[in-house]
Amino acid sequence: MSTVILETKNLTKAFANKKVVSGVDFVVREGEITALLGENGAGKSTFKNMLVGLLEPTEGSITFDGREMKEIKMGKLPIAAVHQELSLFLNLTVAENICIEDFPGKKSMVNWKKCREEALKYMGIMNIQLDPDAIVGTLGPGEQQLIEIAKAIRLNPRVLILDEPTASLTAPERERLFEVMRTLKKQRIGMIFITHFLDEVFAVCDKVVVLRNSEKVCDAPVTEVTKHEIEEHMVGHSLEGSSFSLGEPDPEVALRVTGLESESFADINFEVHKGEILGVAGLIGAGRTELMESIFGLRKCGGTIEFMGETFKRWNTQQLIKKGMVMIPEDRKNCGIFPRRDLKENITAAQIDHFVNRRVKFFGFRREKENAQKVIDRFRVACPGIEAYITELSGGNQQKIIVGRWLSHSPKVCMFDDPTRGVDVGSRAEIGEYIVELAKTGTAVILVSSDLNELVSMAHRIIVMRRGRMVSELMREDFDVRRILSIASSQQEDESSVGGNHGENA
Amino acid sequence: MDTKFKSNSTLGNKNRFWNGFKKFSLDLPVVYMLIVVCVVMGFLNRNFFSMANIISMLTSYSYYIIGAIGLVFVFLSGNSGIDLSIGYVTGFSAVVSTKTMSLLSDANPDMNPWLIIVLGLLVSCTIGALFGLLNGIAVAKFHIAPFIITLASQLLAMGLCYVFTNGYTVSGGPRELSRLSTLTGIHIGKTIIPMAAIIPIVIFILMAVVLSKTTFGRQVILTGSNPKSAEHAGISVSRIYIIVYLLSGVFAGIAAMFIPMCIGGVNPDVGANLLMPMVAAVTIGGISQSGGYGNMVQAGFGILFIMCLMSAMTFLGFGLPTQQLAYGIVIVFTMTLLGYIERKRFRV
Repeated sequence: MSTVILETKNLTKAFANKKVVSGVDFVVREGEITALLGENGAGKSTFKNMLVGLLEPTEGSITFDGREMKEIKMGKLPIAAVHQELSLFLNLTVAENICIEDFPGKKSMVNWKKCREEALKYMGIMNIQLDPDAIVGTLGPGEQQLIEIAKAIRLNPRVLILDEPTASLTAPERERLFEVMRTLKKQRIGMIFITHFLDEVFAVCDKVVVLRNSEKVCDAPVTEVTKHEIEEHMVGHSLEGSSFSLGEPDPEVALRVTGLESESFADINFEVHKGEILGVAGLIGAGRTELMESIFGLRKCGGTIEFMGETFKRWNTQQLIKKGMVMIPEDRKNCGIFPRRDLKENITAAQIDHFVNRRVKFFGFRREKENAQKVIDRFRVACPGIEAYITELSGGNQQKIIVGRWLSHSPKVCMFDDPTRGVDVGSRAEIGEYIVELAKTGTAVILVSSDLNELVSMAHRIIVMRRGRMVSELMREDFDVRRILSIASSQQEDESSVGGNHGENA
Repeated sequence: MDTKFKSNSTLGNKNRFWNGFKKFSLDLPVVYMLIVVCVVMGFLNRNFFSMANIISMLTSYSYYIIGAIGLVFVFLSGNSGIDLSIGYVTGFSAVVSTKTMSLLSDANPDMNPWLIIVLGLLVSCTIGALFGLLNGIAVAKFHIAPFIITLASQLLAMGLCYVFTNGYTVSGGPRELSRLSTLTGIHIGKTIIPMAAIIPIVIFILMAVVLSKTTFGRQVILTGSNPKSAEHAGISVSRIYIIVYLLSGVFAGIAAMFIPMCIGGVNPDVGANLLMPMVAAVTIGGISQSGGYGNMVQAGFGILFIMCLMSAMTFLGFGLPTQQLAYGIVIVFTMTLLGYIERKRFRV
């Protein structure tokens, strides 16, 4: 057996007493590709960040070639990572991007000729041919991914982490990436390959490690496990039955979406009934958020929506809010809160016109304070008072404020885009309870979530999206986390497979 | 027990006082600077605080006050908002409206002078509004940095101003206009508070209400705080940007009327020295260009400080070059201080 390069023992990371990674033993050997799997929130990212030294472990040790990580200087770690979000400079050339970390040359002068040669050399190692003078922004995502890898290889690492490199790649691009991975494998580089697509694991990996709820639940050679077993490990057996008692949906349609299409999704048709919770499942990058934002009028798209008996060909957010549609955004920090403003203003932001005195239009804010206080009481927000800045609150409480902002609106259609992301367990259950209660009052709910268990326990119906398309629709009787996962992460992209999946579920 | 309770409550009071003091100091550091100026002037020249000087201050700096009010909204709307064009737009509007008024009153001497003044105001506001619209649309629809586009439209206004006047001073118009800055006003005993001193204060109060009590004011602040969240909350961010620049242009137009009113003849390069005190007043008040935080009280103290500083310098007999050097020093100092405060408060 080849030598061990990287080893972790009992690696643990806790944020405020909540263990995100707990007691993981992990080994990377020379020329071995390890698949690191797990659902969103299982602890993969935290684990990765500890390996590259971005986070300090709470407990346990990381050793490289038998040396403790702490003894090695930050810049000298024999590990490099290609992160999910590319960090390339799109306006620079391929060669410049590859050498960006440490330009060749003397002192502050850059030797551009040598820079070009370096780039060619490392692309040679990876066995790829790209024009070193091409501007990176003009290349496709697959090629950009390869450049990112070349950049990482130039640091001469012995371990390379690839974090979901295939998420935005087409089939041929993916093949090319696997080719490169095999080439690197021959050069005895150990790799950690993080992905959601199980087929890819069997295509290139030697070993599978699965994390679930911060713990390692599986560590086996690829030849000894089946796809089915891996899925089981990822989801876990501890599937509690529905802890929510759902209401009966009304036959009346609240929102109908027909032929919605844009650059990130195509051919979306569905309808939501009053009092129904429609779950939308899919991997990150499947186009869920884009779809929600398009329906809410924040992005341009083609198609029509039918809402409250009115058909829209073009629509904007203001119209929809007025008619009773609301959306709780995924990215709380950037799209939800108003920093530097107090809780009161954050709560009433979407309905300021409700408080203005009727006699003199647009003037004065009557009952604004009482209303804000009501929201805070109802959602049991832990805060020093309604005059506090929103940034003083914890993530869960911020989320409650945002949810409160919209639910005090008595909406007809309510879209939740991953409402429990980055929210602690307690607030999570509370938010879930509110969603179910909301649906019981006759509101149609569209719930996007990365947490499949959450979807399964709360939705009446689930739509599965994959790479911008609706690939399956499941009724509550047919819910099965494993099946949803395999549909969402399946590799087939051709039209026939879309039909096939439908048939399978009918 | 009793004493313990007492000590606790005094401690609580002390804390509350300390917190209030801290918030006050962070919001309005300009008040301390104002006090310094006042104390210094109190020692050097008591006449500084005479009613006559206060009235003359308000009258002769009236156009700065009005221009600064419009600028407050631009600053608060965020997006690094600034309107550099207001100086020359004020100049250009003043030139055109004065010309209009003088032509009108020359052509028909029997015409009601107030009608002529209103027409002049209309003309200057229209010009201001057009420039504001240009800036607003460029910022909102074409996503041009406010700094760049308003710098460009400033050049446009400057060019137009020189072309329109050929470099000559424009004057004329009804006598009633210049009386607004001297004789027409509220009489209290022997002193007269002229309209030119009252109008800016009225506008200031009006806009303070608009900012803090209306939907529009709230929307401007929320947009400045986080445009993306605002978009999600159903606020049309581009509409807000356009209105804000439009407002700033209109206020430049209103300010323009005070130039023939208070100075008399309108010099074509009157716009050159208008911009800086306006920007300085709003900035020193503590309203940051990053938007979403600030109120009219801050702006008011900022304006007051700049006015006192300018007046004090004139009182002490410093020439324009020295005055400008002094503004430079003060602005650089406060900007640094404010940057530090903002960092401390919001942990950015």
